[in-house]
Amino acid sequence: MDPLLALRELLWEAAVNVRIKYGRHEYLARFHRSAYLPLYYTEIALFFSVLSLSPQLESSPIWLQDGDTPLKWNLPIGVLYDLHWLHRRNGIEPWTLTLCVSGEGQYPRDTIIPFPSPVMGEVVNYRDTVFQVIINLLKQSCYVLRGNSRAILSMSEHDTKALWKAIQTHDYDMYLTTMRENFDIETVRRLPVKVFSVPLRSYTQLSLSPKTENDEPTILGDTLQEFNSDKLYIQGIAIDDMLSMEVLQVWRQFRHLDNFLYIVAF
Amino acid sequence: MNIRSKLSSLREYLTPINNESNFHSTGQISPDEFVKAGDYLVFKFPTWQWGTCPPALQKSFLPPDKQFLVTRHVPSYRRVSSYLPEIVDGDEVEEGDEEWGIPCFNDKKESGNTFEDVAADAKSRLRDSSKAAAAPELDDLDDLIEDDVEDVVDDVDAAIAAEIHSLTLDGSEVDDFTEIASDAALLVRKYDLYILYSTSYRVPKLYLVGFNANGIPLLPKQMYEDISGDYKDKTATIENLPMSYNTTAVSIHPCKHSSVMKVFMRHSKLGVNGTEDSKDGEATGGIRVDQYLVIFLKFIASVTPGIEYDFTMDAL
Repeated sequence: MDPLLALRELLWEAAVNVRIKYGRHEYLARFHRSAYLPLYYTEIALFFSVLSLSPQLESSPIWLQDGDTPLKWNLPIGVLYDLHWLHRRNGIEPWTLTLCVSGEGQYPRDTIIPFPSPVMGEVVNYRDTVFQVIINLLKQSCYVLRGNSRAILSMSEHDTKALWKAIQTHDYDMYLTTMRENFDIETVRRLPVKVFSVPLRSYTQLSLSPKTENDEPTILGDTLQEFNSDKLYIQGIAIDDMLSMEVLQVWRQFRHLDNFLYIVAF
Repeated sequence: MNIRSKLSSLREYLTPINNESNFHSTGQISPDEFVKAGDYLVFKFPTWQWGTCPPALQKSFLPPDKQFLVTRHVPSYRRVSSYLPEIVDGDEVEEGDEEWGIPCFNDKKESGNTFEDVAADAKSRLRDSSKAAAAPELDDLDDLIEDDVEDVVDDVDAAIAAEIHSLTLDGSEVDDFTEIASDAALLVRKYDLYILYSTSYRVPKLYLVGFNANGIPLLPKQMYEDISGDYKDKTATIENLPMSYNTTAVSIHPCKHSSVMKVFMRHSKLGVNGTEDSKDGEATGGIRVDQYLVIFLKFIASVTPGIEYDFTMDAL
C-alpha cells in the first residue's frame, strides 16, 4: 500500500491514554486522537453513575477538566492532549482529568459549548450537538478550501448520515468513501490551518495559499515564523524536520477529519 | 366554487400515476421522487414536516404518513405592494404619484418617475422604515392622518389603514399615536404553506393558507396581496385544500413548474461544468432529485416575495 495512505490510516487510528477521576473512582480510557470528547461522554457518565450511584451524571450535562481548566470539547482530542499535556508529560503517564457535572457545579458556559438539558427522566443527548459542531467545522474548512460551502451543504441525507455514523463508530473506510464521493480533495484554493500558541496564549486561524506570489510552493517553516517558536507539534509529532516541507503536502497528510490542519506551538 | 379549480381536481383524480423517472429531461418528478425530495427538505429544513390526513382524503400513491409537506406560521411582514409600485396597465400608471404604502409613516418626497428612481426610493425607504417601525416619529404620523383624510388616491395606503382599523379591538381611531408602533405588529401575517403532489402535471403544487395577526384566517382576496402581481391573475387560484374538508387556500397553478425546473437544471449543469465542483463522468449534472424541492421553493419565493420561509441554502 502507498505509504502515504497507510500513514493517513495510522493517524486515524492513533489514540492517547487518559485517566478520568470522579470522587474515589477512576476510568482508564484510550481515546482516538481524531475523535471528540463528547462522543465518549455517554459511556463515561454511565460508568460513574453506576459505580458511585449518582444518577445525575446521566441526566445533567458533564464536562472534563484538566486541573481547573475545562476542556474545550469542540477541538479534536489529539489537539487537546498536545495543548495541555504534551509538555508536562513524564514518560508514558496517562493524562489525568476530572469529571464534573452541572448538578454539582456550574457548567462553564462562557468557556465551553453547552449541551441542552434533557427532558425529565431522559439521558443527556450529546450526539446532536457534536454533529452540528462537526458539520459546521466541515463547512468552515470547505469554505476556505473552495470559496463556498456548497459541497457540504448539498450533501444528500444518506451521505450526511453515513459520514456521521463513520465518525461516531470511528470507521475509516466509511469515512473515506463518503468524503471521496462528496468532496474532491484535489481542488484547493487555500488551506485551512489552526495554530494554537501556548506562550502567546493565542488561537489563530490561517488560510494559507498553497503557492507563493512567485508561484513556488509555500513552505511550512515560512508560514509559522510569526509564532516565534521552536517547539511545534502536529498530531503529537514534533515537526522540526518537517519545516522545509510544502504546506500543501503537510496539510494533505496530517489534516484532521474536519479538514483542518491543527498545529500546537510552545 | 371556481370552475377551473373543480376541473383541475377532476383532472388530478383521473390521471393515472406515472412512476417513471425522467426528471432531468422533463423537470417532472414521480411520487417516489417527491417522497425522496420531501425527506431531504425535512432533513435540511426542520421547519418543514410531513403531514397526514384522514384516510378518506389520502392518496394511495403516497405513504400514509407522508401525504404532503407543511410549514406553519411563516411570517409575512409587508405586502407585495409595499415592495414595488403597482403597475396595472401602461395607461394607468399615475405620473407623479409617488406615495405607496409603507406602514407607520408616509413621506411626501417628490422623486423621479422612472422605475429605477422608484426602486431606489424603495430601497431607501425600506431601510428607513425598519428604523421607523421601531421608533415612530410624530411628524410623519401627522402626515399619515392627513393623507387618509384628504387623499384617497393611494388604495394601498387606505387598505393598510383599514386593516389596522379592523384589527384594533376597541375601534379607536388612528389618532391614537401611542399604539402606532404596535400597528406594525398588527400587519404581520402568518402563513401555513402546503406542498402537495400534482398527478396531472407530475410536479409539486403549493397551497397557501394565511392568518392575520390575531390568528383569524385570511380571505383569498387578502392572501392575493402577498402574491406578486405577475402571478396574481394568471396562476393563483382559490381552492379548497385537498387534504382537509373545508379550508380555503390559494394555490399556485403548476402548469409552468416543470419548464421552470428544467431551466434551473440547465443553469446548474452549466455551472457545474464551469467550476471545480464537476466530477468526471457524471452525465446528469448538478442537481439531484432530492434537491428538487429546495430549488422549487427558491422559485416559489419569487412568486410570494413577502413570505419569509427559510432562505439559508443556495439553490445551485
